[in-house]
Amino acid sequence: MAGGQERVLRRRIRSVQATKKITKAMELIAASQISRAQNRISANRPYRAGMARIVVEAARADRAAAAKLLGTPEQVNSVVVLAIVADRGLSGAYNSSVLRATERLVDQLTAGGATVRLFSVGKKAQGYLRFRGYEVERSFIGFSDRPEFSDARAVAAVAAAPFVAGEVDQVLLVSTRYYSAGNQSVATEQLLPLPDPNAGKSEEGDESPNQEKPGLEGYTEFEPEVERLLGELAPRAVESEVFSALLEAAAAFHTAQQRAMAAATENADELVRTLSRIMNRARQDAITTEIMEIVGGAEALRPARGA
Amino acid sequence: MADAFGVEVVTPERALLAGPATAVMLRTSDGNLTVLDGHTPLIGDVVPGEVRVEQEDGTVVHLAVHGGFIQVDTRPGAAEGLAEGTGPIGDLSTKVTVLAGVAELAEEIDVERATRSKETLEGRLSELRGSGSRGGGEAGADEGAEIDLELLDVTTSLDRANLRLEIAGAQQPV
Repeated sequence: MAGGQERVLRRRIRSVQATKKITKAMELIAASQISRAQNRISANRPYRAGMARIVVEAARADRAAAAKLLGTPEQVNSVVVLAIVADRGLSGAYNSSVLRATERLVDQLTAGGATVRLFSVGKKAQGYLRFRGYEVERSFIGFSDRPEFSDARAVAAVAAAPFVAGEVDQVLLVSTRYYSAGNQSVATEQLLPLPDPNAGKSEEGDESPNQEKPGLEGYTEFEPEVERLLGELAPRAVESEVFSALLEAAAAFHTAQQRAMAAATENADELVRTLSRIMNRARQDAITTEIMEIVGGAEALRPARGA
Repeated sequence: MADAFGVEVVTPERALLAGPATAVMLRTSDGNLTVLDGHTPLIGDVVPGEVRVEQEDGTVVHLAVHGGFIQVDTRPGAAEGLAEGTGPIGDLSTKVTVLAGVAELAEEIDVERATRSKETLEGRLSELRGSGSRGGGEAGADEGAEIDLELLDVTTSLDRANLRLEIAGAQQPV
């Protein structure tokens, strides 16, 4: 009778402890992935900075040619939105905050009269967006944990194609940026046309210090001429931006997952403690009841023997 | 001996090389280019091929670069921002940056792997060519476009494998 409740509780405690082992393991794995992801971000930095430097110089040299590829379009009639999330969940609000920002952006653009074409990276984007009635034109999955440059290439090619073909005026990217171990947030950036680095200096956060310096004394030679070079440069610059966004999103994902799993582990501990307390009380109650019964039974027998 | 200047060869995944050098030889779409100290500022494209970097002690590092860009930067302090991990390299005023989506050091090329991928790619290529000419009429436009895409993919990969083999071969002592 009373043992039944105790057994149920014991079973639950065991189940919570098993879950805790899993969350603890996931926490440790995520933690080890964070440092790897961070290393990849810093390994990518020289390339990204070098690419930014070249774009700045080329844009400065031929403003007319640059105007086609750089700057912010005044009138946006159609736009590509690329959302970057993860393939896996169990990472707190990581996926949903990017997807909610995407949803808001799409609604806002649609309300402004623009046609929106959606692309996404990460399995979690499909379900969320499709369920809410947004059509995802193309979705990439399978590399959100460890993006390779070739993945970035594939994504960049697909996301940039409508712009290259002149079908859209703008390509926007929604992803989680990894600023530091303690600071990640969702950001929307313009992928194409390339943000004009010479226009708004404040627009780009972490540029190399070289950029602040005035132009080269004399001039820079270009091989081939700037216009052709910019044409080749733009797709590579987009790839580089997509790659760094993927790297940062991966690092942010692992950080979010580690945090979520640490919280889950802690919660499991708490739950085990509470359940044990209840279980102990139930056991005590059972024992007390049993003693009472024995005493009661003995008490009932005594007068019978005495008589 | 020629003066040294800062050189970095970087890919999105990592910096392949960063440090002082005395000459960089590569090929742009306008022709072969050798950069020595005191070169004018330059930005150019790098066509797929070999990039050679001559170091201060005279040894030459060979790299396979599968397309990219080069920047010669002569602004004061340019070389200070050399790829992380190497630190500033003295008072060098010129910095040459080679950016490449895909590149590798000749000594790190896996010849066996490149040979193997070359073989599979060549096989796939002839397969694709065959189906392209055969299915010309009946295959839908979509399918044709897909084959074209894969053809492009296979061709670039094959070019890479060939370049790797060529450069790894050049590296070996004769």
